[in-house]
Order: sequence, then C-alpha cells, then structure tokens
Amino acid sequence: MRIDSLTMNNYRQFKNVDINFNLAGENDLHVVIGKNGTCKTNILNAINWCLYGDEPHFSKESQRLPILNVEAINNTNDGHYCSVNVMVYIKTNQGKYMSFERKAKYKIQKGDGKQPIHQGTEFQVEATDDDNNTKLFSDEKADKQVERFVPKKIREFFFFDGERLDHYFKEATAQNMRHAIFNISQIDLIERIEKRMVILSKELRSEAGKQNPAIEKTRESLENYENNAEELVKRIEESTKQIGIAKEKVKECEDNLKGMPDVEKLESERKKYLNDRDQKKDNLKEKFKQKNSILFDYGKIINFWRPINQVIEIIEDKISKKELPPNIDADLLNKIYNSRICTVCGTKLSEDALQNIADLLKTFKLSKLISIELLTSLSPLKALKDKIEGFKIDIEKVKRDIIQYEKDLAEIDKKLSNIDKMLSGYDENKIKQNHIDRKKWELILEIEQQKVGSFKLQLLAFKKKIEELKKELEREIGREERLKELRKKIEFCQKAVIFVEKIKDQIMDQTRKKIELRTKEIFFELLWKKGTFKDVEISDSYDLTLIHALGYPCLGSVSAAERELLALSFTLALHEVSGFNSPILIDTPVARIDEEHRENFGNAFIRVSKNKQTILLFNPAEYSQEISNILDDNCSCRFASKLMTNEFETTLEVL
Amino acid sequence: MSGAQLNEEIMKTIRDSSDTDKAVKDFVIALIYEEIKDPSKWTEIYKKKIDSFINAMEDK
Repeated sequence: MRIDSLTMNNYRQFKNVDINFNLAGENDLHVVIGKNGTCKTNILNAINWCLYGDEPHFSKESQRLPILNVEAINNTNDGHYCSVNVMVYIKTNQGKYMSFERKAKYKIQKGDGKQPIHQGTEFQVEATDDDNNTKLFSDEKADKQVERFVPKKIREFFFFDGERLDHYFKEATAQNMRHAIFNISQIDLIERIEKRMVILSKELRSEAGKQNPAIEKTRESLENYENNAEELVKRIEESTKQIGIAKEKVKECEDNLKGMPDVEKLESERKKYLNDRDQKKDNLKEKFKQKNSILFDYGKIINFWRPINQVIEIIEDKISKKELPPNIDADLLNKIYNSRICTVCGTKLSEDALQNIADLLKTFKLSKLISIELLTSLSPLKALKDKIEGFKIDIEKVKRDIIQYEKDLAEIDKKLSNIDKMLSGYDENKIKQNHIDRKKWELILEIEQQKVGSFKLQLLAFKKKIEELKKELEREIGREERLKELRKKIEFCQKAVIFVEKIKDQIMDQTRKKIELRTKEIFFELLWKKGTFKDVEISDSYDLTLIHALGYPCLGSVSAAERELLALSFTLALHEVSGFNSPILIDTPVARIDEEHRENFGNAFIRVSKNKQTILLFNPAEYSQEISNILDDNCSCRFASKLMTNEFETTLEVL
Repeated sequence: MSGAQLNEEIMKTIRDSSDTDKAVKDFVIALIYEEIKDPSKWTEIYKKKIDSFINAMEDK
C-alpha cells in the first residue's frame, strides 16, 4: 500500500493543501523540506489525526490550540460553522483505491479568548471492492478499514519522529521489543481466544459444581489455585516490566557517565589521599624530631671523639706493654721505702735494697688507683666509641625515611592535583546523582530478578497442584452420568486452551527469529562499513545485541548513525513480518546524525524506497549538501513548506 | 498481509501442528475467523462453536 495523496483543509496552518506523492522513477521516495515552525511535523500529525483521530506529535501546549486554521476562523462570522478535514488517499497492492476522511465541525465564537466550539467529528472510508464497486464505511467499520492499512497499535513503527530512531535502543528494552513483536504478530488475537476459552471452561466447571457439593469443593479449590497462579503471572509480568525499566535506567546512567569521571570513587580516593598525606606529614615531623634528637644525643659525644679514641689507644697500649694492670703495688713500695723496714719479714732494709726500691718506683708512672680507673673506664669508652659508630647508621636511616616521606608526599600531591583536574569542568552533582541512580536501579534490578525467580518457583508448584485438581475434578465429574455432556465440553475446552497456549509460544518464537533474521539482513544490506559487525541477535528474552566482527557485543559503543540504522532495520523488519507493507514516514530523519554519515543514510533511504514508499520530512539544516547530493536526483517528489507572511498559513511548493 | 487482516503465519502454525486433534485445530481456526470480526456477543458464538464441534466429532 502507498499514500497516493494527502489533502488538508483548514487543518492548522494548512488552509487548502494537496500533496500528491506521485511515483516517478524507481524510488518511491518523497521529501518535504521546511523550516521549523512551518508545520512540517503537522503532515505527520495530519495523517495520524485523519486515520486515528489524535495528534501524537504535538506538545501539550499545541494541543490546546484549535485544530482549525486561524484564518478560516477569522473569515467565519460569529455563530457560523467552519470545518476542518483531512483526507488520505491510499492505493492498495491490488491497485484499488481507498480514501480515509476525517472531518470536524466547529461553531465559531468571536471575542477575546473565545475558542471555537466542537460540534462533532465524522470519519468515513471509501473503498472499491474486487468488482470495482465503491463502498462507504463509517464508525467502527471505518476504523476496521484503517486497521487493514496500519493498525493503530503498531502505527509508531510506520509514522514517527526520527528522534525515535536515536532513542530506539534506550526505549527498546526487552519488554518493549516483546510488546512490539506481540502486537505485530497478532498474538493478541490468539491470547483473546485463550482468555475467552478459560472463562468458558470456568463457567462449565461452575455448572458442574452446582450439581454436586463434592465437585463444587474441588472446583472452588481449583479456582483458588488458578486465581493465585494468575496473580503470580501478573506479579511476574510486573517484575519483568520493572526489570526492563531498571535495565533501561542502568543503561541510561551508564550512557550519561560514559567518559565522565567516577566522582564518588575519585572523592573516596581523594579522601584517602588526604588522610595519607596527613599521616605522612605527621610521620615526617616525627622523623625530623628523631633526627634532631639523634644529632643532639650524638653531638655531645661526637665532640669527644678524638680524646676518647686517644684514651682508648693509650690504655690499650699500656695493656699491650703489660703496664696495665700493674704487677707491683707502687703504694706498698713507697711505704716500705719510707719505713726502711720490709713489711713482709720486718727486717731493716739495706742501702742497696732501698736503692733498688727507688729504681723500681721510678719505673711506675701510674698509681694503682689510676691504673684501676683507666682499666674500668676502657669499657665505657669503647661503648661510647661503638655508639658513635652507630650514629652514622641511625642518622642515615632517619635521612632515608625523611626522603621517602617527602617523595610519598610529593606523589600524593600529584595524585590529588590529578583528581582535581579530572573533576574540574564537570558537574559533580550531576555525575554523583547518576552514580546514586545507577546503584539504586541496580539494586531494584537485583530485587526484581530475585522476585521473578521466587514467583516462578511458586507458580510451578501451583501449576502442579492445578493439574492434580483438574484430574480430580475430571474424575468426579466423570462419575456422574448426568454430567456426561458437560464433561465432554470441559475436556474439549481444556484441550483447546492447551493448544492455543502452545501456538502462542510457537508464533512468538517464530516471529522473533524472523525479525532477528530480517533485521540482520536489512542492516547488513544498508550498512556502509561491511566488515565492522558480524551479527545481530534478538535473544529469547528479547534483548537486541549487535555483535562486532571481533565477537563482542558493541551496541553501546557504536556511532549514532549505526545505531539509528539498526533501529531503522529493525523497524523495516517489523513491517515485513507484520505483513503490513505500508509506507514509512519519518520526521527529521537525520537530525542527530553527523555530516559524515548523512550521505550513507541518504543512500540507505534510497535503497529502502525501492520496495517501500518512504516519506521524509527534513528541516533545511538537516537537508545538508551531503543529503541533497544524494536525494535530489533519486526521489520521486520534493516539496518545500513555507509559512506565509501572515504566519497563519503554510503552503507547499513542488521543487 | 496485503490488506487481509489475518497473520497467515498463525494459520500455518496451527495447521502444521502435528500433536493435536484435528477437531481442536479446526475449532481454534474457526474461532480466529470469528475473532477477526471482533464479535460483541462472543460467549454465544463460542458456546455454539463448542457444541457444533463436539457434535461433529460424535457424528464421526
């Protein structure tokens, strides 16, 4: 299907505008270029309003303004009526035409602050059938025709703002991916059947229970377990949703912190370094004290170094000459010499003997007391000498310690200065908040994962009990002949429910695998760097992973252009698998892509438009020379939207 | 899907399912066709379908 034309009458700034998306050449590519404020985005809103009755791409402020063109309001008399209508003409794959038209009627009120009063909205669809008969549909039937074009629940994959591509993998958590796959593969239809069959099964069991109190008792017990199991399933879903959100938030925090210093860690390091610095400064002071103390202590004895050495040398010399210790007591000889009597035998000494004693006395230079003094002072003197020798060792050690502490302090100052440099220029509070948030979400993630684990175990036990009770109920109902018909119905319903559950799982899995394969194929077809990536995976838990050629997951580190291309590939894969070959309309498709990659993206759109109608809404800055060179000669139509001087009307010119 | 509302993949998966009674498969397919019409009185329709499929099974 493709949009053949779009007509807007009195729709916001579009007073009377027709856009014909004529196909010329092999690319069904259409470009609208318009400055911001020229209501370029209103083309996206007009299509949404016509098909679904809402304008999702407006700010809340804009939505408060009347949908009716201001000039049309001004040109309508007070109390008269004025309408806004948008028509979308579709050409189906079978070459048939369909038109969707939404018309809203307003009563005009003149006066300050008075808004037009909404009188009602009509929506109708005109379609030709296989026999070329024209049929008109309105109300619910008209809505169902829209569902054949692009179902409302998956429209965001067809008509969207390019920003969506940039944010895609922030938003596309596993839960969102699952949801998208669920919607496009029409599992909701199967699920509806499952739910309705479960309701009917319960009704049938309840009927059986009315016939027999024993059956009723088992039925009640079964229903309790089923309700509890249902509650657990809801809790698992809720926790799974929370896990998805938490994962998304953790990723968001990590993205915000990418390239940012880890403030908390740095601050903790800084604190540690400051403590270390204080400690080392104290130690250094202590070492200086120690040094002074050593110098003071040794200073005294160092001054006597030479005399001490000389005295030791003298004493040791005397010892070596056997002068110390003395053999004879000089005091005793003096006493004998003076008394002239031998103190041993009492005889009077001769003159010769006295002369001998006098000669002997001359050989004694030291008295006994002095000799003893000298001998006893040798050890302390040697101890002092040893101590002086130890001075060198002690003072060297202290000096070494002082040098080491000074080095350590210089190193700490360097580190502190580095931390300050790292932190300067960043919003520390913002970074800190991101760290706090990341911790918070990591904790939530852990708690919710534990909950899911616990709930699943409980659910398993409940399911076992449910199966037992079902069999028991089956036996009890089987015993009652009068409930034979009811039993058949219950059994049949149960079989159908089991089958539907199985089909649901199979289709989900098949769809996931198909989307994975097509995303990969489209991505590699559109990608400009062929050797960089190896694979695209969508896991059983619906996490999308881009695998680098070297084998590691790299979605978080690829360029915005590559990320957006992957999102576009995924979107196109969803289109294919959903079976809705409807157009894709993207507002500001390359606004977030750098100049270098715009050319690549332009080429990608050309390739996409060979098989699918592609409508791109650019602002002039975005439609840079790079894009213009690529798209100008390859698109079917180009339009420029211009705001008239009265600022109430936008026109579209074909370029 | 080319303008049709039903995802043919669902029908194919049902038809290819080997370990289920044909009656159950046909019953689910019939319900899918009913669901496409988005019936307001689904209870009646479902009950009738259950009866008719059980009767058909017994007739065989």
